[in-house]
Amino acid sequence: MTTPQMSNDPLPIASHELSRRGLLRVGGITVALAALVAACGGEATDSNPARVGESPAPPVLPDGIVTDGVLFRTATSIHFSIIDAHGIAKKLGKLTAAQAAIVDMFTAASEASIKDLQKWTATAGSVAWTCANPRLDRVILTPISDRITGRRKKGSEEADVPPSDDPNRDAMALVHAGESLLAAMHQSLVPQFSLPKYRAASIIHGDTAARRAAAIAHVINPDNIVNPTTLLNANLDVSTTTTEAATTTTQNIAANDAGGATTTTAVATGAIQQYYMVPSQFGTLSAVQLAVGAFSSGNQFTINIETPSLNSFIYDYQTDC
Amino acid sequence: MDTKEAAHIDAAEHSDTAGSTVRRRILAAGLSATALSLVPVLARRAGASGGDAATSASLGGSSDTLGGTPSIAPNASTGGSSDAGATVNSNGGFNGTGDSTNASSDVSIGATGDSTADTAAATTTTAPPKRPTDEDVALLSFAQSLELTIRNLYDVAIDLGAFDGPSLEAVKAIREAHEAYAQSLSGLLGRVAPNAAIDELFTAMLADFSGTAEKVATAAQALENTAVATHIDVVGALVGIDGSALIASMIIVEARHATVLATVAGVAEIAKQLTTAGKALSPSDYSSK
Repeated sequence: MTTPQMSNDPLPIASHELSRRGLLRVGGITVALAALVAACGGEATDSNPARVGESPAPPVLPDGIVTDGVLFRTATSIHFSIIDAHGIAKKLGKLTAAQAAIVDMFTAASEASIKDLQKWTATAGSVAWTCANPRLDRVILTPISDRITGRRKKGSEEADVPPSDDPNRDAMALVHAGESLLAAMHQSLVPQFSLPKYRAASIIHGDTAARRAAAIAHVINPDNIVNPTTLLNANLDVSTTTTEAATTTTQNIAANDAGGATTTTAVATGAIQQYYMVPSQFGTLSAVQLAVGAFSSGNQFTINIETPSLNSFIYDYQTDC
Repeated sequence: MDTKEAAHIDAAEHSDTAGSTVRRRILAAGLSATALSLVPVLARRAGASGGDAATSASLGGSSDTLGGTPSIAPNASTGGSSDAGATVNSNGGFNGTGDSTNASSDVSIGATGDSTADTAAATTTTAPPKRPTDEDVALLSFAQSLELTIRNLYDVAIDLGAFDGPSLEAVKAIREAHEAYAQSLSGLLGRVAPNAAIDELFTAMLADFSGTAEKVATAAQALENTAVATHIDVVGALVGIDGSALIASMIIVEARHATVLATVAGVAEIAKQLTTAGKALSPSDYSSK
């Protein structure tokens, strides 16, 4: 019997013993080939990439399309919010009976506007909105209310919010700001409507709101009729308000007391914000500025109330009040 | 150990070596097959391709729920994420600035949930123009003439000394405002602007602006209300956006003027200060421009 010889012949791989090193070599080659194939693969986009495990589909908000109906819905919501603002003024402002009667009258006027705007909403093909503007309530009314009542500090605030030193003053200012906002809003909506009849339907309510704003400004301070800045811009020769320009032959742009000095309505340190029956020569679309609350370092909390825009429109897909 | 015994031992060792080799081959084949089966998956991952809807549905599931409106409504109620929903369709939406290239359309109502491509295809309406149309020019010209008439009437009252003190200051400011409105309309209309008052209206109102402060203020309040009513009618007829926006900015302040003049006239009751009674004028009512 011959002793079988262990062959070292490397010829057929099938007959060759597979070592651990060889196994690793085969595995490495396979992975390298897989990576090569993957790298050479086409770059097709996949909206639904493969995923392992259960996962809810991410929610996708519908497109917020601004239509005439959306504009009417938004106007309706702002009127509701201003009614809420008037309610805050009545609740927190310690109003006199006469002041409360005025606020009630203004509230009734907004309720009438709401009914009309809801009809126009349906005419424009949308569903009438029946409650306040959630964004305005959250971003504007809540901070204002806090400044009148005061509250404990929260979040990153360093100190408590003190209660107002004059709630009545702040409440009346809030009523004025609300009516001014309504007027500015209806003006701002005019060029956004697609049809002339919708524009007229909107500005009618701007007209009445502007009158209310003027009336409440007169109640707050009967002496504030026309904004001094407007008088200056109008170049009136009324001695009580204008400043004569000093005649000079040389330019002195550094002079502090130059003629025609800028008169602004910015609130000076420690001064109370003033409201005028006629604040400007044309209706403005700038933010309505409202200063409320106790003075801190000579200034009140000031908030700018913007007319509604894309982030506060009431879109057609919004269904819940 | 003899030769035979050594051969037996050698044969046994050889038999063990052969069995180990077979097991190794089977293991290698299995690993290779596994590695090859991973090639398509790796390729799909690396190239982000090949994941069709069926694959996604089987792995990720619930792709059919995308765009479900019910999940959006709670956000709307809180207002917490309204920013995210503020995407204005570039074709059917409206940017609120009066840009005629991106204007609103009623057609887009109800398009929520449609794909962007579908919405774009469905939008067929045209945007309102910015500049006044020929019909708008006639209306805006009348509005300008009305403003100049009002300015002239205030000039009469001021020259006759009907007002003094704060009342005079207010009336002068109101007078300047009307002149500014006329100038703005002139700028909008260009060379076709009439730049002339309505003589017929001026003559009719002249007596009312020639009396005491209370009488003039009362007449002026009525005239401001008339101007507001007229301008509202004009806004309801204007097609061009620029003219509408300008007139709207005038209406807001003229309404305030009316309230101011009511207080100047001594009206103390708020409800009467807010009266909007005023009959709109029409270009057809007057022959002169």
